[in-house]
Amino acid sequence: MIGLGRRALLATCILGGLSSGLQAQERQSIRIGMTTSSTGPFAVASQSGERGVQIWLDDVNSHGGIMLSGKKYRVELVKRDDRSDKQMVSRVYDTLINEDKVDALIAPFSSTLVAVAAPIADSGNKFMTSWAGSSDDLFRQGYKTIVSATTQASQIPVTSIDLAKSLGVDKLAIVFDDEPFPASTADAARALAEKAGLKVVLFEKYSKGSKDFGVLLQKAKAAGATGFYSTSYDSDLIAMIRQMKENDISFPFTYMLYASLSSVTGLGRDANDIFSHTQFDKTVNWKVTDGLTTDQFLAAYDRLFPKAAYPADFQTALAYGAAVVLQKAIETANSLDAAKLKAAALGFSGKTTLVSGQFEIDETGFQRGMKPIVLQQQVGTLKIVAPSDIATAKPIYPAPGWSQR
Amino acid sequence: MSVESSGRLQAMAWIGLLLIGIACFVAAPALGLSLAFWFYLALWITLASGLNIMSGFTGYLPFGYAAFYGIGAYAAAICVRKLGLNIAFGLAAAAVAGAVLSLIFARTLNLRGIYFSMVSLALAAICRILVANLPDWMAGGSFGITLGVGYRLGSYYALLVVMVATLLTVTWLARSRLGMALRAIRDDPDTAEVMGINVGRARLKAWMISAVIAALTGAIEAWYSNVVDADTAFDLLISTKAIIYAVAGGLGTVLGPVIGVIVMLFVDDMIWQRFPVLNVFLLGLVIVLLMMFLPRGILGTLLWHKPRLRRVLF
Repeated sequence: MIGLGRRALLATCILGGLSSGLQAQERQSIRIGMTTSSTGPFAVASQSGERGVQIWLDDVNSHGGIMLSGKKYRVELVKRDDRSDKQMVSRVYDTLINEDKVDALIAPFSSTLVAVAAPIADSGNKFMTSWAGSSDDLFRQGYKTIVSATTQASQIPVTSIDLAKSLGVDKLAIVFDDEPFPASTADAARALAEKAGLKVVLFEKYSKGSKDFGVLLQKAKAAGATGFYSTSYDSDLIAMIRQMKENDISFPFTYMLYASLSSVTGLGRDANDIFSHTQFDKTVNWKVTDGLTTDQFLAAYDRLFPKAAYPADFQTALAYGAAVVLQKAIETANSLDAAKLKAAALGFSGKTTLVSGQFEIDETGFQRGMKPIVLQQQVGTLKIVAPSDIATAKPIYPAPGWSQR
Repeated sequence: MSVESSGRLQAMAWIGLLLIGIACFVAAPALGLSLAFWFYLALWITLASGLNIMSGFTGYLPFGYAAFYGIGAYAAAICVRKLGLNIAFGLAAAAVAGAVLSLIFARTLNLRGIYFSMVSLALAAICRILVANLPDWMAGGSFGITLGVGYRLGSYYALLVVMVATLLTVTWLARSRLGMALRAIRDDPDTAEVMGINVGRARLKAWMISAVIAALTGAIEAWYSNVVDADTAFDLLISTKAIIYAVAGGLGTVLGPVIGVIVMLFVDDMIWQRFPVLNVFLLGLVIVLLMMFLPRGILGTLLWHKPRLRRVLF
């Protein structure tokens, strides 16, 4: 009798312990980890992307959260500062996985930092969506848990080179800043141009920090270029445009990747007729299947960030898109297992359109679907000129000389 | 207490501390502690100690120390990724690259003080530009090289080996004739020469040892982080942080850089965890206050005020 009593007591204790343990482990939320850069060279872009994730967070939680196993769970964003530092990214993603025990990850800004975070996510068996890892090489490493929600570097020049070809550009001068993204995009542009039958008459990089482009511009002109193509950052483009005007150098087709930024369009007439790149524009209305439409996205941005120093840009949209992909993967897979999330993402690849474009990946997670958009500043306003299915204006070609602008 | 017994006490204390430290580092991954934190703790202890050889012992402040770190990282990455060699070859190549670069830069040792520091800084910048302009098929262009080696734990233990070797090297240096010669050169190079010390040779030895340490560290970090690119491999913050940590602890002492790194990294981590917005500002403030109130560093100041502690700490 005493033995039975002790056994009963033991059983009760065990059951009680298990029960309280289970209660303690009962899921309260879905935890998503990410980093932003409070300082350093990636700060502005990273924070722009963070605002996109915040828009998603606000939207998803206003609807109760993410559906998992028949129940909605609020999303908890575990956000840390990486200071644009490779070492910090390594520590932070380690911390997010092993100490913060997040359920999934959103990648940091820039290919270099994503390259550090990716093996950590992969070895930690955490699904990660990348919104700013444009390096093609990232997806040749055999990572199994990473997917891209941004246009890869080799794909960025696709629309602009097709446009140049269709307009009749036959000789292209490509000039770029010696930094990772501009250099790889320039390489891709050269390859695509040559494939399209354009002759690349000049392919030249300059050192970071250079501001005197007179010689480069003269060389491009002397080479007979009918198209000038630069993948440099906006601060360099401003100097380039000014020096083009000072030296009375113009080209029938001028493409400057970052010329859609307000710092460049703010040059006014001098920036007219220049083609540029974006992956998001307020006038583009993709047939969104998941997440907010362009108008809803912009309205949410204005509501959540009324005092933001910058308007919503393509980085905001890309990061938002990456978060939507993550949500969709969880809900489709009905799981937080990295392999199942990757399989789910492959499953809805090609059938999902976000505010940033179509989501279509291959087995490696490499993004193939997002079409780069080509803009042209026309009479002080940016117009979409390609791809043709979303164009809002016809391209102005050839661009008039400086005296006629 | 006699000199011999004082020396034995010092040695025992140091060996004891080293063994405890090694045990902590070895056990950290098994205990589920943050591998990244412990890896970078070991990395900065190694770098700060390596820099201490040139700066603390010899009196040369190499602002361009990152050049060796970067060249080591690239040597390893090129061997592994472009030549298809094992990471062990990559590390060996990194050490050789660091030694060769130190020989190429050896002429700068004829300069003194701020002139050496400035030229060293310029040479590091030149290294970065040269590497960044290597053909893409060799150095990966501006995106750099992704190593794809894996086995991060292996890189962690490799770094532990280098760290322990560095600390033992610094310990040997502190007690050796070479170390005495370096300190004499640091205090008064002209007098040291008159006294018969081969200034050039002694400096060169210290320079090469310091360079190889940095190169190996850069190579192992590339292995660990899986990616190397010119901007981050030759980042001047690498030199700056190594200097700050070494100075914070106490240049010219063996334990100083170790203490400096431990204190600064823990403070940095604590600030980063608790002040997500202001962490960089607060860290800068801590560094400024440290330099103002403890210019000899933590250990240096302690030994200045309590010379008796030299029996145990050094």
